Amino acid sequence: MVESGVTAMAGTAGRLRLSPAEHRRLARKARLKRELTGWMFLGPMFLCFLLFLVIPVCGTVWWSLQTGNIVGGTHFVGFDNFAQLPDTVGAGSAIANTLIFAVISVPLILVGALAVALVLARIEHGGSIYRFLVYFPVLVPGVVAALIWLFLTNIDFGLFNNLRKAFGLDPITWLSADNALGLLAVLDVWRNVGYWAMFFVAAIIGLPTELYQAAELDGASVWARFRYLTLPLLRRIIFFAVIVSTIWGLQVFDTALVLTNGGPGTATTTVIYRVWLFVFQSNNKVGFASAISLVLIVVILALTLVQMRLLRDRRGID
Amino acid sequence: MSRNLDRETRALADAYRAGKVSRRTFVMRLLAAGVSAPVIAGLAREIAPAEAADLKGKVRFLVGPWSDGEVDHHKHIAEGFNALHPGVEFDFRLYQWDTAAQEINTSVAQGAHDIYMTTESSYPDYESGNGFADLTARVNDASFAAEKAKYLYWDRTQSYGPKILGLPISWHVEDALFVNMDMVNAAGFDETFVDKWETFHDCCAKMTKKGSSYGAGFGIQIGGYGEWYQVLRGAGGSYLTDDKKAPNVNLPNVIAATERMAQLFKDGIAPPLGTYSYDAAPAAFAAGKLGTLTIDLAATTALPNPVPFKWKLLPHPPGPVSQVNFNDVTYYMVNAKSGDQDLMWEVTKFWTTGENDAYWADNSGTYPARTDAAEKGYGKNAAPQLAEALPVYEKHAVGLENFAQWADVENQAEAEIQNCYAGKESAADAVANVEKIVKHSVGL
Repeated sequence: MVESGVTAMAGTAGRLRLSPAEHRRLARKARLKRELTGWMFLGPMFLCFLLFLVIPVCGTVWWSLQTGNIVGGTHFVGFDNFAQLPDTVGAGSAIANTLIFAVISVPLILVGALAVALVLARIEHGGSIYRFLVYFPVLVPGVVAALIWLFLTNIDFGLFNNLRKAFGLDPITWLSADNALGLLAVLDVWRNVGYWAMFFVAAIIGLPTELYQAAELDGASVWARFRYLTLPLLRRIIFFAVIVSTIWGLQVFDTALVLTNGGPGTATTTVIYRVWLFVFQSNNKVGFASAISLVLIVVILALTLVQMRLLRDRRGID
Repeated sequence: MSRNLDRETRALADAYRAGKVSRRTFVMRLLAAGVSAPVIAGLAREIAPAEAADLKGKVRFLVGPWSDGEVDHHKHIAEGFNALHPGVEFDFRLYQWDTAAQEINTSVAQGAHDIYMTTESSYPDYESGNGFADLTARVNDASFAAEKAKYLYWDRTQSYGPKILGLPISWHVEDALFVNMDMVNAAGFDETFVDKWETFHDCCAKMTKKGSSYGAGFGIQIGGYGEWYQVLRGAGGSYLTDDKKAPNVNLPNVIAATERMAQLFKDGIAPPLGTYSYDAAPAAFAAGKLGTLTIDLAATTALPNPVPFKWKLLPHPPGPVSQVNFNDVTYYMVNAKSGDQDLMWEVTKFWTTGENDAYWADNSGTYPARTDAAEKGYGKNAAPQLAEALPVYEKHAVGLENFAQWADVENQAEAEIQNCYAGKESAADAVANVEKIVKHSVGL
């Protein structure tokens, strides 16, 4: 028996052919099911994206046009918060500290990670142990890392000064106004080298060996192989690492809070730290803090675009 | 129970029955005598069953870490409360001093805790908000009048506005001068070296030995809290004028006083900023690495007992205009969001009784805020230097100014001045920047 909508065609006994309308209905149903399944998988991600990114960013835009505080209420002030930014005491030093931090830490992290990765990729036995050891600082939360370094840098019994004393040198104040920012950058390098090293190791292991064999046959030196094979082949991952680590570098906060409390003075007060101070230590500056956050977002976007343009190859790929 | 303890317990029970001692006193004395809370609870119920077990609920405290034993001190007080009211549970959480304002504000907004230990610096801000319960009616109730009279600093508390938001528990010196008298004497001075800036400078210079000790332990207080503010007030300045309409910072005397402070760092008499943290500085003082140390009185609880040298608490040298000692009051406040406000009030009252305030202050390195604290046991554990120094500190006492952004200004100003101490900017520029901070924060 043939059900409604399904036609038995002459000359094709035993084969059923759907009418065009039914075919469209079933195709629509299948497409809907496929799309629903897709949205079910994507839904949680979109929900998080909405909750933790879109709404906060919209909220930040709204707050940036207000003055007051989160608990006590606010009122609209238009673009006053943005207008006040250039004259704010400490704004310049916060921007300078953040940029200096990124300029010190990002190259050191990436060069260090690449060097470590090149060594790790050549280890044939026990590589996983070395990889774990290199990766271990990544697992240490920023607050804990800062506390560890608080002890390492103690003037009287810290490891760093004990090493200096062992070499006959005078102890130094690692967290002084002159040294603290550099030390924070080094701490950041310690924490992040392992993270990027794992990316680079994975990429290096996946490089085509025949290219290296051919280069070796052609008499290319180790440096030449690194310069003309490894680096170009790793360009995409390095490009990604430069952009992401720069973004992270511009957002430094937790270690500055625990290790130096933004000081001495404002020596380690970064942009995010300043935002945090305005939100939580002031009773009327939530709008001002939001304005700074928006400016930082724009700066990060601009820097990322500049980096993309500089790092893009001549054909405009990547 | 030993025979003595038994006799003491009976005598107390008789006194309690006869109405000669209060229920609280009865319980706290038994606790002090070493009787366990469950036994006391049984005794209290036996003697006056109607009064016991009337309160029920959970009370969540958020308090500051005055000493390593902070939570234990509160648990001790809670034992006393539970002896009277076993149906009440307690939870004690600590905030950190350098993030206190943030943690308190966030917690209040979320209703995460019920009773907060708050400092006076935020009182003007709290007064203008609605986060904390208004206790005015309860404090001014006739039934509380006799007890209210035993608390100190009501004038100061009520100067912030019409609402009474908390019961005071301590009067705290934020930037006391801890002095190693052995080092001072070895340098050829006595305690009068703080009477003039010149002798203070000379003495600190002589106590400084390259590579082993510094004479002036400045710049160690968390965020510099109140440290430069004392300099400002001692030089005749203040963040705002009396009418609160203009800043009162950028004055020649203030610049000069700031410059001479900066000179201590330039001369190497004070350790470079960042050498010692708030937690590490008391140990450095006790180890003789700092001849003097500017830090709050709670550091007395972090010193070893006994300290291996003669030491004193002294005021800072006079400024160009006056000698100043910055201090503030600490309170217990109740979250307005907490459900059972009657329970919170009972708990807050209990935590600030003469016995309990004396017990807590005695173990926290601060001065209690009760007239009856001394007779209720204050001074058993506190360093004797505290009691000795009190009259001098009271004589030069200066509190904060009454405007809502005071704490905000203070945080930013101290950091700005530390830039000057670190040699990053001149005293004139730093002071001018503080004036800008005042204008920006207050909206002038």
